[in-house]
Amino acid sequence: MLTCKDVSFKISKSLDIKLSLSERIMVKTHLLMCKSCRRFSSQMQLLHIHSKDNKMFLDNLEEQPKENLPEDARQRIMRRLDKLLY
Amino acid sequence: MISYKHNQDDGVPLPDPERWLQDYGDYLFKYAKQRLRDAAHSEDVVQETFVSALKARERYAGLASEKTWLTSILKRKIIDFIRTQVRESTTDDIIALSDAVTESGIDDLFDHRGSWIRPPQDWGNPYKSLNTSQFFKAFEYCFGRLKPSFARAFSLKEVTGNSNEEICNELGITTTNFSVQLYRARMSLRLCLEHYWPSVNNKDAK
Repeated sequence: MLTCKDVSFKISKSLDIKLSLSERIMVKTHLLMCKSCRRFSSQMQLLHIHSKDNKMFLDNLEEQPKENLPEDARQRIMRRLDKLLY
Repeated sequence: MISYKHNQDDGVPLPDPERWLQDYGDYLFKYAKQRLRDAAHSEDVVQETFVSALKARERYAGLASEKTWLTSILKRKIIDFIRTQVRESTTDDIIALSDAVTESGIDDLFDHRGSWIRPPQDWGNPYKSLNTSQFFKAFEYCFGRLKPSFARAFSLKEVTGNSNEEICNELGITTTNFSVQLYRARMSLRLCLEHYWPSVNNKDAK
């Protein structure tokens, strides 16, 4: 039997790599019985910014003002590149 | 949408860097700013990207589109930036948010049978429009207070969206080691959010 501590690590790991079949079964079984780990699991999903179903963070990133590269920065970069070129 | 085309028709093509800036400057800047969330730093990494691109111009084989090529250079610059920033901040007096989640202290979160000492609370639904920006603020606050090594692991994974292999190659660590670092980072963030996210005290939350 996995403990909550084991399960919490495997849940974190599952965000990055695919767990083995037996790991997945053990985690699922534990989650069925354990409300605390179910909460933990959904909290981890929330913190997993780039997961496909985490629209919140991606939307929030999208909502950043659509600023362009400021003109002074553009000129500074151009001067820097000119120095390298000539 | 303004299209900057270089004047090939006139027989006077602009030199590469100038055209790059025209064609991709805004795109790269937005890309960087979405990830670094800071205009000045984003300008810097964009500049570094063009400088590297210019130096490597001969080696650009034309296999990828120019945009893809420049974006891949920018990605590396962003990673480098996050790394140096985190390294510099280790010298500051940063207090790790929770002593419970020190390098060796995950144990303190669980009892001797491996059960939660303080079971996770109900966070409600932060996707609800009212709570989203609040949650995001709490996240940024907690992220800012992460231990530098945790912050580094978390940014490399979640902010750049790179694969574990890419990151581990970059850092020269094993994937197991990286999983552990990410685990600790997430545990710290979670603990902080549980303290600071106001809607935890929501009436719906138990």
